[in-house]
Amino acid sequence: MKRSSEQKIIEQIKDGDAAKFRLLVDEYKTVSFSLACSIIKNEQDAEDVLQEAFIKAFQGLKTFNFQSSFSTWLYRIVVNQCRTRYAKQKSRNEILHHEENFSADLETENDPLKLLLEEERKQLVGKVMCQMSSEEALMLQLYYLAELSVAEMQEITRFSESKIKVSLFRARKSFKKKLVETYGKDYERTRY
Amino acid sequence: MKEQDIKNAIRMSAKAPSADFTDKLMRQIEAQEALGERKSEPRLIVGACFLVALLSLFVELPDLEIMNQIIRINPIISPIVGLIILLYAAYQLQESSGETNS
Repeated sequence: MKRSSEQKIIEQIKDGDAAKFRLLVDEYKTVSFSLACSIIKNEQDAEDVLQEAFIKAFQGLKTFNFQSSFSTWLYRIVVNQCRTRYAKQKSRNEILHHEENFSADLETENDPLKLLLEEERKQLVGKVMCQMSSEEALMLQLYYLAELSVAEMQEITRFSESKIKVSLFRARKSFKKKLVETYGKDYERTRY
Repeated sequence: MKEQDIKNAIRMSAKAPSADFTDKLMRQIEAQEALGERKSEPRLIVGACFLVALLSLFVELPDLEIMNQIIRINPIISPIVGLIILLYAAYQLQESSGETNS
């Protein structure tokens, strides 16, 4: 979605056309959900938190003044909401490491073998992401999936620039290590 | 493992919420919007009534002259009217919160 059309939609929502919020939800739900999952590690809880975050965003949209991009603003709400829930979960020792199917819509060719390998690979990567710490997984998702700059990541996480760079470096290293060590053979097999 | 491989792997593992996520969310937002509207109406009434009641404490009604007869209005009348208006507003507020809870 272009920034100008996004701005127009936000103005319409501010003017009372709440139904237009659907367009923003559809645009950002996948990345937001992945961010939530990287922190919470439980898809059902992540979906609940994401719902709360979107409602918060809707309520706060009146005060959104386009100083930052809408995506950065929204991801900050999602991350804050997830951190609050994560802290509660942690205190109750209820963090579950789910190894579920991932339902991202990805472009694949129609070759069944390729589809199978793709799915298998997706699951392997998902499992590795679940094994990583919330902070590391979040860094990777923000940088590679949401494609944010370090400055935008700073705005969302409230970490210093150096902390983000160090965390990102560690996360990358840890991801590679875990992926190759744990699923080295399987992962290589699923690469074509 | 190259940088591009990490990017591809992470993009590949992106997860989507359930198919009816947007519908459920929009229903919740619409419900909240409707609730917000219902809540703001009685608040407006109460605000207006409070203002009237407050004014009635300070405003002294002048004597009325009807058919050469002068009717003096007791200074206690206007606060009593203000109180009645306030009680009515409180009653309306209670009614509307009862509807919302049910």
